[in-house]
Formats: sequence, structure tokens, C-alpha cells
Amino acid sequence: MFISIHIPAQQASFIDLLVECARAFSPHVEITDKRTVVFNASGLNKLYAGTKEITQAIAQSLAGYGFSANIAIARNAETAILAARSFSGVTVISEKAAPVLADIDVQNLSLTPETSEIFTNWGIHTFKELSELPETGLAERLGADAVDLQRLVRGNIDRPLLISQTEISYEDRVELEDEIELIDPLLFVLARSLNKLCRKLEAHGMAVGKIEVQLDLVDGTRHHRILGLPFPFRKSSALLKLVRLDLIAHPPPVAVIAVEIRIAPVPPRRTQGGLYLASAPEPEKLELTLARIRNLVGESNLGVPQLLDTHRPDAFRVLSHEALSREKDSNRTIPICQIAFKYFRPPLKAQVNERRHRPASVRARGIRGGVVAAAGPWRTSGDWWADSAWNRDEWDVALSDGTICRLCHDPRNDWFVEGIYD
Amino acid sequence: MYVELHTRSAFSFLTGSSLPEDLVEACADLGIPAMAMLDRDNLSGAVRFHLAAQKSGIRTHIGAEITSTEGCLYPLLVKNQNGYQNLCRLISKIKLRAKKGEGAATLEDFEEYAEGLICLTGDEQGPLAQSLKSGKGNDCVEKLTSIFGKDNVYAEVQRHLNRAEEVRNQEVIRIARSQGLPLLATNGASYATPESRELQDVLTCVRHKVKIDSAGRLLAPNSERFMKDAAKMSRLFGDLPQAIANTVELSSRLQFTLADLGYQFPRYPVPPGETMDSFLRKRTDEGARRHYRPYSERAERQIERELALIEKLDLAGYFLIVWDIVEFCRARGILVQGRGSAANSAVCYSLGITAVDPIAMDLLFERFLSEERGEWPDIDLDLPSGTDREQAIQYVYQRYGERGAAMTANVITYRGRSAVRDVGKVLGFGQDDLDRLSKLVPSWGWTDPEETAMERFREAGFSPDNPMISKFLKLYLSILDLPRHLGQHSGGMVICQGALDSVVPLEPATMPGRVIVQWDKDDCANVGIVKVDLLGLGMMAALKDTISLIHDHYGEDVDLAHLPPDDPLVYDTLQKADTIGLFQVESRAQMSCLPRLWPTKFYDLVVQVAIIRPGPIVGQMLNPYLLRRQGRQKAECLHPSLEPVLARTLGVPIFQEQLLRMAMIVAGFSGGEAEELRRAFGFKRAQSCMQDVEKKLRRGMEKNNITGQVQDVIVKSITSFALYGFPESHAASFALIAYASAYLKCHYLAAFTAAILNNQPMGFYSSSTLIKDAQRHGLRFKPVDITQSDWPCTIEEHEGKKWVRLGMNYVRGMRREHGEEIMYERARQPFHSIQDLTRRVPSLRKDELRKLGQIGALNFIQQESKMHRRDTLWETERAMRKVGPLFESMQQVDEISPLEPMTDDERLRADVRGTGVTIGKHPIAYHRERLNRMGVTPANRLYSLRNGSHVRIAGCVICRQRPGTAKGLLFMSIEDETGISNAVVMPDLFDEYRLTLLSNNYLFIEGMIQNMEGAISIKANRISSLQVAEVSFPSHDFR
Repeated sequence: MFISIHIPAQQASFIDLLVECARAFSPHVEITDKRTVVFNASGLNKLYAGTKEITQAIAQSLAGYGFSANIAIARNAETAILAARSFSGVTVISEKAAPVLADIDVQNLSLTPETSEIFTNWGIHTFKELSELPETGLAERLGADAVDLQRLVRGNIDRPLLISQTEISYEDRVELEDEIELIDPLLFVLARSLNKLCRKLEAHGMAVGKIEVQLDLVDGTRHHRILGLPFPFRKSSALLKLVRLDLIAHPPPVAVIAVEIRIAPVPPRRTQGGLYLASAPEPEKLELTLARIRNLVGESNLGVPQLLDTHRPDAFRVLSHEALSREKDSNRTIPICQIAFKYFRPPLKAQVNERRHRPASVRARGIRGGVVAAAGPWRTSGDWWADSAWNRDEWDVALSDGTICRLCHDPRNDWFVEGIYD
Repeated sequence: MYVELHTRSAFSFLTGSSLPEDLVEACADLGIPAMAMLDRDNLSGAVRFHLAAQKSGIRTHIGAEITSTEGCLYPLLVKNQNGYQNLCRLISKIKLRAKKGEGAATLEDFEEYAEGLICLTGDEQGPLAQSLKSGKGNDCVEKLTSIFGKDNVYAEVQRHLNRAEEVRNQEVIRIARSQGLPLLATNGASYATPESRELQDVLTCVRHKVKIDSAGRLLAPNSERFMKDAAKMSRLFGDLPQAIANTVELSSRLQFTLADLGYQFPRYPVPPGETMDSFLRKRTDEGARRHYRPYSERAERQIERELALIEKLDLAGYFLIVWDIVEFCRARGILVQGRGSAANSAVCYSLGITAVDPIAMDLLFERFLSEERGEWPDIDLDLPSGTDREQAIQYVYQRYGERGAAMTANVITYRGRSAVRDVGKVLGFGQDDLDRLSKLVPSWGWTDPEETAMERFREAGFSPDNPMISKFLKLYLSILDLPRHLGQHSGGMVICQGALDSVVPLEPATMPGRVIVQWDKDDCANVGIVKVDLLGLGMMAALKDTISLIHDHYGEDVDLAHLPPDDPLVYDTLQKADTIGLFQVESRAQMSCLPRLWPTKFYDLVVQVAIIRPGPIVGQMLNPYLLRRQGRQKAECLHPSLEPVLARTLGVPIFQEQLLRMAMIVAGFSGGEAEELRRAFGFKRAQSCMQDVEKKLRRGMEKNNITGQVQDVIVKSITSFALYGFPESHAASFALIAYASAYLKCHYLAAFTAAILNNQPMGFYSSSTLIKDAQRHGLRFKPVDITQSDWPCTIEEHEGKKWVRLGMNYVRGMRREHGEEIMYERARQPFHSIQDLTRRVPSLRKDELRKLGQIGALNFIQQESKMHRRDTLWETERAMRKVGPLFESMQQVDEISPLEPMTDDERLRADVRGTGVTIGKHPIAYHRERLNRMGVTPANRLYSLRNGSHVRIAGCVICRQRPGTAKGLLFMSIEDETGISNAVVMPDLFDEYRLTLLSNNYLFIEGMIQNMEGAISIKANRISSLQVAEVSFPSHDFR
């Protein structure tokens, strides 16, 4: 005896709850689709007086979860599934299934577009019409699959359930007896959890791809941190150091009352070092070093600088390891710089006297002098479609003291010294 | 002084963002005396550039940037006619040997065509810039001077306030000085004003297929590529005054303009001892004696007058060449008829080019040919569309050689939807937004001129205050009318004495075997290149097929030139507006006019063809003409002096010729001046030109004491023709075809119907409407049957009557070669089962076989027993399934199909989905009882109802029209099983029921009947959708 439960489309996101509910009645549950489960209910006869009581118990349990589902009981799984999908409420098919299923639309079956078209051409709309076609004739035309379909709509197909495996979770939660305010005692708790999870990972031949640390706080809020690792590893001491550095940089605002760690498992990194290759720092150590630097300079200031593909002068961004690995190589060439130029960041505000629309003298912090030669203006503008639109002129000037610097002039008429040529 | 010698226009296709006219205007405003336009690998904008410059008094220099196989662009300027010819040949060579849109010149090509050309070293894309990257600048200059000659290479320097460019310039200056090359300052302008830079960036993104925010350095670094005056350029090149001075020096060396094109129309080969004039005279005389019986003195005089003018203008060759094409068609049985102004010529009539006798119809010869205009006459030939027309085109190619003839181009410009798509995509709008924005651009129907784009956007939920939307709007408006790419004109051919590729560059068309010139038909006309239009007309093909079917099935030979004139049945049909399928008089508007115009002779048909045009309608000439025809209004002329011109159209001007004559009489215009007037009013962007001509017209009338209201009415009559009025000669040519189609439909309905079904799409109605109309006229149809049907629809005899058998060309998705294979196998031996069919025609695909089964085309395959459609579908699936080798030799046991036959509704659905038509009942017929209960009147009973009575109609919408001349009114044709009824929806009702009207195929309409002398329509006051059938027939929606 098989029982299928089918929930409405709007409840499809709660399939996990449905599975949980079904598992309360049988350990062998098949998740047929996002809205349907089926399980073998043969053993339930020993627990309940009859079919009616079984369905009542299931309906009660479903109601407890807030589901308004269809339940169908039949002698085989497919019939139960079809009935649960097609009829509302509780359907019990104890004897011949075909008459009960007769009026169901064949398009409810998972048909290929071609088979669906053929059935439409033939005027076959219901299970009854399909079941009445001569089996040999059907086999000659549409092959064995169609015969299976026919057996299905006649309620004559038996198949084993495809039991869904429970996913292994790498989570650990510790409810604290006393609230923790300091980082070190908290790390003690975290270390225990991390050790446990790393052992579990090791047992399953997996490593850490990402750690989520969730701290429940005394004020009822949660402090949530996610640490993505550039390389998978599972050394709990290194992981603990990373978590520590992160928590130092982003401490919880109030005391902690519960700790939860979730690990996203990934296959471990497999590399073979060459005999003559210079050894690179161990990834764990590198990551720790980077985390320390990040704590010092700030998150957005650590990474690999990348020039942006734009005419905007000095446009670049800092990419983290992760972002860098996602970036595709740009095939556009970057012009090679002929003279080294040292940028002042931020540029120095300057006072510039002009003569005939050309700079005549410059005064800025640490830079002062008359202009003996000037080239420009070099004009750039762009991003006219966005808020980041720019428009400015640049001059390369040689000052009386031998300094060669770059002046820039924006539309608000402000002058800056942007840098000097080395 | 400074001359701009390197600009690109929008004709560089997605590389420049200003039209040649805008660049010229900027040039004139900035006081630049001359300018060179160098578009990329083409001269498509050269004529427009030349004409605009002529008007502004700017000297033009022709040139182009030529893509080289090295990946750079060679800027080439034309020095003289030889140089121009070389440039044309060079572009033609590289274009014709590559795929459309590609092609590059090798160094050998440049060497071959260098004579007469000046080469600049180019900008950042030029050959020198590229060589400098590898440090081979000197080698490059040596190469260029060896190809073009030392005097013909200039070291080009441009300054756009760009550091990298200046680094390059310094290198160029150094090399130029070391090698003694003159420096030349150019601006490399790509647009007229700095504001156009944004559009330039958008076009760059379109070209590279990227969004603007990811285009990066593909975009321009600044907005400096705009036109600059001499002062600005002198400031920029203050350190290089010689580079500025050299622009003037080089400009003085460039002597070529498009006025010295060197085009010659081909000479027609005549027998020894003859000249082209004498030969034409003989052919005309022969023809005139054949056509004019008797050959009256008047005809002789007119022909003599025309021949004298033709001789004077040296046009005999042109007439002989067109005559030659017509003779070629005649010899091959291809129907051909000249249309347009050629029908005004008695010489054309005598030569058999046109079929209308201009003398009998008193047509104005000046409309065709005038000494004053100094332009080539325009002869358009109508040919049956399809292979016949292609034969004629290929004949011209063969006769004048691959380089001697080509089709004219059609410049595809940005229009509403393409502009929305390209600009929207570049700005990164999502698909949903693009779809919504596209819908704002009306594809058909009238739009309120008061409604601005801004308001339409606001209504559709796009706030114009949003910076992105306002940017979009601005770019959308500025991209409109900019050229996108070159297409092929439908039929215009140009021919040339000698090599056409030395007159204008040629390039391959998308269609294999076709070559196009880089100019469109207006450009060709403007520089005096003769064009012959070989236009495909679906009705000509249908008439030809009808004649052939009549020959085969009626045993009669019909000669279109000798159809019985004034056939009563034809006029009876026209008077009743029973004109579905007829040429030119079948539209809803024509049908509503016919009962009121009540044609009784051929000239009435000429008027009928011409009167339903925007010109006469906007000029409010339709109603006065109809009232006068019915004797309800006095036929008075606008002025007594116009009596001779307007008398035969009852004082109402209807034709373009009348407009010309009116101008000649009332304002003293000469024939040529009157033609100028027509062109001024016909040309879309000639507002100022129109005003000038109107002033001249009024001045002329005042001289003749025609003032006040009469003057205003005459001016209004004439100006309304700017909105397209037919020339009388053109209307007469079309009326001949209309008469022929009516005659053939009335007398040979089966042949005519089969022929028009075989030539779809054409005309106003879909095949389903044509079939239903023919059925109402008593014609019966047989369905597609693979044991009987040919590829086209054919005629069969049953019960002593002619039936039309639908052809396999009506089976959707069926390939012609498979249909013909079936016909071939069937002729060898009839099929005896579906199995047999699949075995003998193995190429038939599953979907084709299933489609044949669905529409019942396999029902008769078993001669001993008829199957129903589902029987055949049951069998089809088995026949298509391959059995393994083990069972291959086994005889399959016939079993009875277990499937039920299709219901009426299923058959209808299968027919419409499978063939687009049904020869069974009209979908509405299945619901007639219900409609009767709803009080719906069938279309054929509307005639019996009183004017003004309340009525309900229902049916399938087959046409929606919202013409610009009707200010928001919607006209609809609704078809039921008894015929077609017409409904009119007022603008306020249209707004109320917009969605119902536009999204439903079946409608129920209540309203008031309007019976205007037999023209029936229903003025709607309530509309709702009607649930009838899942399938419907297509509606023809237009403005």
C-alpha cells in the first residue's frame, strides 16, 4: 500500500516540511517532485485500525504543519501519485484503479512534446481513451514507453520507490548557560564546535568552502558572519584563527547566548608540488596573513588593483581574491606607460594663474613655481549617461624648479596637481 | 582659411552620427568654403552631400576611407575624373569579392587604382599610425609614396586634445619633415556639433554589440570630433601654420565633383545604316500602325512631336532599351506593362511599353518628358512577381554585363521600432522595458499629432523626468532617419554604357546573384543616371496564371490586350462592390465608394482607382465628385479658365496631370515649371521649397486676376496632392489591370481564384476570405489530397462544373520539393497505402506527414476504402516508425483504427492550423442559431435594412484600418458566412473599447446602420468579444 501527498503550488517552498511530515509515518519517502511525496505505508496497518484511521492521522499531521494537501492511497506508488495530483481531498483506491483514473487528462502525464501532439492528433484526451487503445497497435506506433504509459493509466505499474537520502549537514549549535561578553571564552566554545565539524568533514573526505557563524545575542538579535575561503581547507586551528580575526574586526555588539556554526562542504584541494618548484606559502597561512592585514587596513583596501576599461584618468578598483578569480581576462590592451607617473592620492588642491588660457604658475602644498613649458589641454569626458559623468582638462607642465607635474582642471574651475612625472 | 578634408558622415554606417546635409550646414555656418566627406568603403552619401553642398554654395570633395587587408583605413581623396573612376572600381572590387558588409583592399589593389587619387596618412586608424606602433613609420611613408606618387601623399595630423594622439603627431611631423612630405591638418570630424557625440557613442555600441556601460574604451575619449571653423583649427595648429595652409592648396588640386560623373546611358545596337533615332522612328511607326486603327492625324502629330523631342534630348537609346526588355518579355510570354508617367507617351504606347492610349485619354506628355527639366524620363515596368520578373532582371544583367547593370540600393534608416531596440539595448534596458517601449511606437494606425513622444512615454509608465528615460528619448529622436545599412530596392535597375563600376561603386546584395549600386533611386535620378524599374506585381502573376489555367481547362485563349471593352457583367460587379480579389478596387474604402460612384465605363474605373487616395480625400474632392456624378451638385469649375482641364472630372481635380495643367493655366507655369511644382509638393522634407512654389503660384494667379477665395481653393486643391495623388496615366494603367482582373473573375471564376490563391500573399484579403467569397459566388473547392493535388491549386471537372482543388502549397510547413516528389511518384504509380507513400517518398518528414494526416490529405490513399483523418493519423505513426532488421520483411497486419473521427470543430481547427483556410463552413456558421437568438443580422441581409436602424452584427475581424486622413476613426471589416460587413468606430468609442477591438478576433457589434447609396456600414456604439472558435483568420491591420 502506498500513500502519496500532493500540496498546492503556493506551498511548494515547504517541501522539506512535507518530507518531515511523511517521515513521521515511514522512513522510506520518495520526493517525486516539489509538491509531491510518496511512501510505502504497508507497515501502518499494524499501528492503525484501518485505511480511514491512517488517512485521518496523516491529515491531522499535515494540518498541524499548516498544509492543505491531497492524499491518495493505492496499491502502487504511481497510481497513488496520479490520484493525489488529480483529486482533491482523500482518495482511496482499493481495487481496480482504471475506472477511478478514467477522466484524468493525459496531458497531466509527463509526455514529450511529440507524444503529446500525437495524442492530440488522435483525439486521445483522457486516461480512459488511452487505456482503451490496443496495446500492440500502440507499441507498434510509439514503442515500449507508450505501453508503459498505458499500464500507468490503467493503474498497473509497480516500481520501487526512489528513496531520498537525507543530506549530511555540517552544523553545530551550542546554547550557552551563561551569556559571554568576551571574545576569548567565545572562542573556546567555537573551537569545540569547529573541531567537531572538521572531524566530521575529514570522515567524509570534505573540506571547508565557507563558514557561517551565527551568534544569538542577549537583546534577541543575531550577529551573522560569513567567511568565504579562497582555498578549501579543514585545519580547525587555522579556521579558528580566521574566525577570531573576523570577530575582532566585527565584534558582536552585546553578549552572546548561543553559538551556531554552519559549514559549506567542498571537495578538498588536491595539488602536487613539483620537485624544483619554489614552495609557495601554505594557503592557510597566506589566508591568515591576509586576514590580519585586512584587519589593519580595512576590508575594501586589500586585494589586487585592476585598471578599469575607461578613458577616465586613474580609474581602477581593488579586487578581492574571490572577485579576481571570477573576473574574466579582458582582451583589451592597456596602453603602455612611457614615463613613470606618481599619483597623489588624493590630488593636491592648487592655485594656478593662467595666461592666454594656459597655466602660467602653480602653487600647491610642497609645489610652487612658474610654468616654463606646458602641453595640453588633454581633454577627457565620459559616462554622459550616468551620475558618474566626468569632463576635465589636463596639462603637463614643467615648473621653474625642474618639477614636471600634471595639473587637472575640472568644470567647477578647480585646479589640482594630480601627480608628478618621475 | 581652412578646408575640412577628412569627415565621416552617418553613411559610414554606425561610425558617424551626422547626415551629410548636417555636416554641410555646419560647414556653411562656420564659413568653411569646401569640404571632403570620406565615408568608410562607400560613396552612399556622396550624392546627398553633393546636392546639399550645391545648395549651400560649398565646394565638395569626394573620397572614402578604404579598409586595407593590413587592418587600417586609407583615407583617399579624388583628384579628377580618373581618380573617381578608380575609387569606384576599387570599392567595387573589394566589395564584390567578399561577403556583404565585408571586404578589404590589398596593396596590389591600391597600386592598380592609385591613379588620380590623393592618399592621406590617416588618423589613429590610418596606415601610418599602425606602422608607428612597430616603429616602421618611414617604411610606411615610402610604401605610400611608391603607390600614389610623392606628390599625392600628405602627412595627416589631427588634434582632438588627446595625449596619445599628440605623441603620434610628433612622430608624423618628424617623418614628414625627414621625407619632405607636406603636412595636412584635418579634423576627422564624425559629427556636426559636440552634442552628437552621445549618439556617436551609441552607434559605436551598436556596431560592437555591447552595452554602453561595458563599452569602456571603445567609446570616444571626448567630444572633440565636431566640425571646427578656421579660427579654432588655426589655434589648434598654431605651431603648424603650413598644415592649415596646405588644406587650401590640396583643395585647389581636387577638381572633381559629381557633376562630372561621366555617365553614359548604353547605346542600343542598331543595324548598319541606321541610327538609334531612325531605328526608333521605324519601330514606333510600325507599332503606331498596329495600335492606332485608324492611324489618325492627331496621333501622327503627337508621335512626331514626341519623337522630335526624344531626338533633341538624345533619348532614343533609352526608349529602345526599354522596348528591348519589353520585347524580351513578350517573346517569353511574360506579361509586362509600363506604368507611371510613361503612359503619357504615345511613343511608349506605340512601342508596346504601355497599354494606355494617351491620345484617346488626352494625357499630358510633359508629365513624362520635358525639355526644361533636363532629366531622364522614368519608365516603370510591371511584371509578374517571382520567376518571370527574375528572368527579366537576369536578362538585363546578361545584356549589359555584370559591371554594366545593377539594382539600385535602398538605404535602410532607423525607424521607430529599430530605433527603440538599438538605443534601448545600448542603454541597458531589459527585455520587458524594450517590449513596452516598442509598443509605444505605433506600427499601424493613426496617431494624434498633438500627442508628443513625451506624453506617450508618460502614459506608458515611463517618467520622462527619469534621467535615463529622458536620455533615451533624446537619443531616440536623434537616431531617427540615420542610415543603418544598405538594402536592395525592389525593382530599380540602372544600366550604363561601359562599366557601371566606374560611375558608382557596386556591392553584392544579400540575394545571391544580385549586385547593387551604392546609391538609392533618388540619388541616381539626381545625378542623371537612368533607371528602369522592373517591379513585381502579384496581380500580373495571377493574371498570367489565370490565362494559362483558362487555356488548359476552358480550352480558350484570352488576350489581355483584347478583352471585350465595357463588359456589362464587369460593371455590374463593380457597381455592387463585389470586388474581393480584384486589383486596386477591393479595399474596404474602395468598396464603400463603388456603389456611390457607379462605374459604367472604363474612364470611371480610372477615376475610381485614383480617387481613393490620401490626396483627393484630404483635398475634400471625393464627396463633391460623387455628388456631382449623382447630379446632386452642379459640376462647376473652380475658375472658368479651368473648364477644359476639369470638365471630364466634373470640375473636381483628381489627377496629378490636372494639377499641372491648372498651374499652367491659372498661374502661367510652363510644363517644366508645373512638373517642378509637383516634385516640390511630393518631396517629404521640402517645406521651404513648398512655400517658394506656393508664392510663385499665387503670383502667377494674381497676374491672371485670380484672387481671394478662388485662389485659396485652387492652392488647396494643388497642395493636397503633396499627400499622394495618382497621375492619370498611372491610374489608367492600373485601371486596365483592375478591369482585366474583374473580367477574369466574372467569366472564369475557378481559374482566377486558383491563380490568386497560388500567388498569395498579395492584395488586401487573406486566402480564407478569397475562398469564402468564391464559395458565395458558387465555386466549389476540393481539399488537399495527395492522390490528386498538385503543388499549386488546380482546376478539376466534377459534375460538369469546374472545382478548385487546393494544392499542397497550402500545407503549412510542407516543402515544395517534397510535394513535387509526391507528384512524381504518384504519376509513376498511384500510392496504395500510407506505408507505400513513406517507402516511396522517404524524404517526407514526420511533421509533414502528420500535417497531411491532420488536414485529411491522406484520406483517399487507399483506393478501396476511404479513411477518416484519425485513421490516417493512426496509420501514419506506424508507417513512420522504423522497424528493426528482424521485422523488416514482415508484412504488417492491417488493423482497424481504434480512433474516433474528428468532430466538425476539430476538423475546422485542423484545417485552419494546417492550411490557414477552410473549405468547409465558416466558423460563424456553426453558431448561427445562437447569433439569431442574439438578434444578429447576417452580412448579406444588411442591404435590406433602413438607413438609421439599429443593428447587431457579429463575425471574424478581417481588417482594421485607422487612416491618417480620418482623424482617429477605426474602420473594420467583419466576415461571417454570408459576406462582409463594415463597421466604423468613432475615436471616443475606440478609446473605450481599445483592448476589445485590438485583441479579439471575433467581435459582436451593435450600432446604427448607415446606407449611403448602397454603401453600407455600421456606426458602432457597443462592442464586445464573441466566443466562437479557437482558431481565426488573420486580420489585415494598417493605416
